[in-house]
Amino acid sequence: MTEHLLQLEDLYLHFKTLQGVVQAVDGVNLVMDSQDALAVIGESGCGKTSLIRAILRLLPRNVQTYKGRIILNGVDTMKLSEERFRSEIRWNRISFVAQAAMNALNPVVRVGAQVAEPLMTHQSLSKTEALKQAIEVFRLVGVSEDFLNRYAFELSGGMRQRAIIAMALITKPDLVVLDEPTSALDMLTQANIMNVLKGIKRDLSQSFIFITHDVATTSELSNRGMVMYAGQIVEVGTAHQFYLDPYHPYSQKLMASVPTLRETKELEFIPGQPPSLINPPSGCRFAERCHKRFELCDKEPPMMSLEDGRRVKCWLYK
Amino acid sequence: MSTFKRAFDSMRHYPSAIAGLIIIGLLVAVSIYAVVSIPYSEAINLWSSQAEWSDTPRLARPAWFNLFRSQKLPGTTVVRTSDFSETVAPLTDTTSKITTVLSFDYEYELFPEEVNVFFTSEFSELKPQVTLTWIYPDGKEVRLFREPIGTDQRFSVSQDGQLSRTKLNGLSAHVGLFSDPFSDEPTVIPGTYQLRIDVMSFEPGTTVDARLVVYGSVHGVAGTDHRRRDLMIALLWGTPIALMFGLFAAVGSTLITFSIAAIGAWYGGWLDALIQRITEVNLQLPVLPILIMVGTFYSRSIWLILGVIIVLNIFSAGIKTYRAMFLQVKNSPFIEAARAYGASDMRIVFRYLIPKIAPVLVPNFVTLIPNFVFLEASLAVLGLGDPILPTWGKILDDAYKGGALYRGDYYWILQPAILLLFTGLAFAMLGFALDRIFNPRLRGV
Amino acid sequence: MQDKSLLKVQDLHTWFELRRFVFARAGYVRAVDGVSFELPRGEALALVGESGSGKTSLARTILGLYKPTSGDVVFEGLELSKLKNKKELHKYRYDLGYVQQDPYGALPPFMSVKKILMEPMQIHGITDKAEQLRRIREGMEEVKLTPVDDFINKFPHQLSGGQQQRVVIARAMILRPKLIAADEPVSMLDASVRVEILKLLRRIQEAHNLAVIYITHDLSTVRYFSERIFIMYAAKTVEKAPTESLLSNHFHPYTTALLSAIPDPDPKNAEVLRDVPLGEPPSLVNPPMGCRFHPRCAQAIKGLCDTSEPPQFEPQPNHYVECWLYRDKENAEQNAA
Repeated sequence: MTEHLLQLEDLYLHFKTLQGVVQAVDGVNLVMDSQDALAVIGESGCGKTSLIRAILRLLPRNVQTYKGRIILNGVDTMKLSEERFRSEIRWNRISFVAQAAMNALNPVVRVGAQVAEPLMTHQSLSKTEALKQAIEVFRLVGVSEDFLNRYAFELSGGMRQRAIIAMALITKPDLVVLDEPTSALDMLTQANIMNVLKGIKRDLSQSFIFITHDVATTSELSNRGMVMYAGQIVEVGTAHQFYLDPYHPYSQKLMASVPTLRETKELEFIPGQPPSLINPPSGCRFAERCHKRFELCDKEPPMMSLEDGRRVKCWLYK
Repeated sequence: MSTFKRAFDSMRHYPSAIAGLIIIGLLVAVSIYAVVSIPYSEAINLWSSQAEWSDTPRLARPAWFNLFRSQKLPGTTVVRTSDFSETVAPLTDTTSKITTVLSFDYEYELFPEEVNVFFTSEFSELKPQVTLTWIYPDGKEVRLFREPIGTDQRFSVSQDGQLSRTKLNGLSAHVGLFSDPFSDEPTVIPGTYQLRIDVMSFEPGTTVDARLVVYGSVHGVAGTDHRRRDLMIALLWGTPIALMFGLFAAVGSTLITFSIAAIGAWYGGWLDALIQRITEVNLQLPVLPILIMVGTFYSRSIWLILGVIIVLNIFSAGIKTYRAMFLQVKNSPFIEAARAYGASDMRIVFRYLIPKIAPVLVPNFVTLIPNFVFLEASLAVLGLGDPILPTWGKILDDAYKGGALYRGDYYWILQPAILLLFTGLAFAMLGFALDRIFNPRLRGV
Repeated sequence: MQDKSLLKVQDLHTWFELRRFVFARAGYVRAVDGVSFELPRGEALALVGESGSGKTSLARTILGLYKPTSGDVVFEGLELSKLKNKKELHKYRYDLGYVQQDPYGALPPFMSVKKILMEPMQIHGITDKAEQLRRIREGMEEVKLTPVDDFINKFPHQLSGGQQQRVVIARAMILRPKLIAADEPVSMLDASVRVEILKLLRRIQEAHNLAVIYITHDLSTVRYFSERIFIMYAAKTVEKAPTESLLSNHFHPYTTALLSAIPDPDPKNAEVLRDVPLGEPPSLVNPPMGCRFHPRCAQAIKGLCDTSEPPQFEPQPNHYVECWLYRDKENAEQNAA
């Protein structure tokens, strides 16, 4: 049996706040294979950013619970010490493109040096070696190597985002996690960046996890999709299953609420709002907004595995 | 407002804030007590230079010192002729001899500090003649005094050199009259002492009242100062004065500073530039020397000093800080929306900009209060305090000038100092906690 | 003939002066550079463009927040550039409502919903308490912030994003304006809430016969909201057409690029690269010579597009394009993608 690229088992991440304990990631189980591009879809407050933090161990100070298993290519990273995690895993085997990361470039360091830095820190390459690889990766993302010696402010928004993506790719990680990589960009630039990512996926067989609330954009890149609601995964499936025929009532409503240009359809919306993560309801968390609710929904449904490989957390599919 | 309600709820999590609030509560309670129990005019009178504090000892320790002593320091005993009956023996139709015997118990182990006898008499022309005789517990008598007396007279027994030389073996009266002056080491003889007052009156209707005061070494909760004034008065009254001064100065300067910063930031242009230049010049002005000059050449009235402090503090560094904050908010969407629905400039400044930033004011102004309290105390120590008000700074000033540390009268300095300390501490603790509440970025600290 | 237009924008230019150091010459940010159109009562107009296209500045000028540098905005006969004093501007603002992008930022955090809704009325002289309350209730019910008593005393931070935006809409409506400028009203809201708010806006527009200028960068919502679309690029309106007409026949190369850049949730997308021009929108301080899109345009005509700015052509009735490709093709169907 081949090893999965990433396996999340019973992952929990709870934060302590003045208002109570935020159960941001509440028992997440996930399997991802190499060359997968997984889209994580959910609205604000569903826990997707916390999921990323959990995987990358970028934890704030008020963590109350952090447990489970994160198995990357057979190694349980949860068991690694902070120092080992930092040097071996973070940005070496899993890298990360944050939201509006293009604004996070250091304004006083040249772009080339910044992009090369992960190699120098994590793989102890010399500066010249690292810069050579930087040129390579710049080519991949479509930025001319002249820009290596420029400063961040000399680059346009789109180019900065490409530089950030380059920085994430330079260590040839097993997995790249992108958090809303295009939401701060113009439509055309977004399309351009997505083209870049598509090219990288095709040429390097790179694996991605792609987080967003913008359902339509995710279809550009992913072959698998996952929907999060109130800290839990409610549906996982391949892109075809997921975009064309979602099973979970929430996914269905979500797809129905996305306006499309190519065909006219009646748009639907979901009344109410997601539950607070501080005191999530018992039973199915979507039940109170669900149009297909019935008696069983008072108990929390387990994640059902269906024959076509999908997993849905809903009693309708017993 | 909801922001303040939220703030109060979050304060529960900061023990320092609660401690600060408790201390401030106590200070406020003391202030209310002071104002209610001793009316303002009375307090001024009691503390003024004309005040007569004849029944209290000079530089007495606080009474609770005795809790820590095995040999108790003596208290003060006051006996009056009105407490005792007089015997009248007429001699002729105009002359009579009136005798009163005052008696008291003296059980202390240590000698009193001083002995005085005060006379008030009423007569038309002829002064009555008074003879004072001291009677020891064992019956021994010593004549202290035989003289005619006027309407208001004081006989400082302890300072009567002749008495001490001739009858008390050179010892001062307050030692000699309470022991065997001719023994090698005089120790206090406890027992009942008496003072016989014989008044020879030469007119009918002459009355003489006398008061014997045997001064102890302790008095009251706070002791006394060099002019026998009970320090409690100044300590009590100093509290509301300190609080009020700090409050008015802090509020006055902060509110005005805030509004000016808002107006400058909103209107921009030459107005803003002008305000900034004025601020920069004002920041260079030395506050304390200016206050000293005002106090020396003009008047030391506390209201004037307060006014000058407020005026000098308006164009302070706060203008720059607040202006930066206002400039940030100036471009917020809700300000833009307000312009879009037609709000006037002044309305935007006072009803939108200021309320938005106002929460930041609160911790600033709480931490500012002790600065002004200390400023007032510093001025007083420099001799520029208000001439009539009893304040903590005034006590410190008197103590310093009276050589308190040199003489070992530590209580005189420590009591006002500790009050100042606690005031500063309370406001600082509260202010820092408020700062963390209102400034969310500091919250994790 | 009676002038039906509520709003007339005539060759509007809004430029902002750039402050530089004392010695360097200041430049101008040419945020709106020659826009003209008419908007009748009751029509919804979508203004589509990327950030930096000038759409927000255009809306803000119409609202009276910026002064026109040249050209004019005429609202019901009142000429914006000729308004002399605050009083006249006040009157002008009475009939216009503004819905902004950031629902939380648009609401003063220290005012309750009731106070927020009261403010425009206070400013414009409606001070009778009973009347104010009546309008507040009406407004809140219209935006479905019900039960009213539950929400009326709440503060913005106690409301969800969708609820906050409803308050913003209620506030914009409270003076019964004739025109609403909605600048990206749903782009900061979650996907499932967007539709709700857009539908609400549409309902309100129809009920009150409002003219709406709906600004967005998301073309996919436009079909649900507007009768006409204007595409803006680099401070100019490069294409103006009725919605359906534009979506089926897009003439300007930029419009074509925009439409092809929009993803639909279709899994086949992952397998195909999109055909979009590279590059970024030009700076508004130094726009390129000639047609502003020419550096990125695959169909640029050398010698023409890079030297002179194209005027407006009308290749189809009511469908306007600023592009040299249509210079002698009035009313012809050419180069439609």
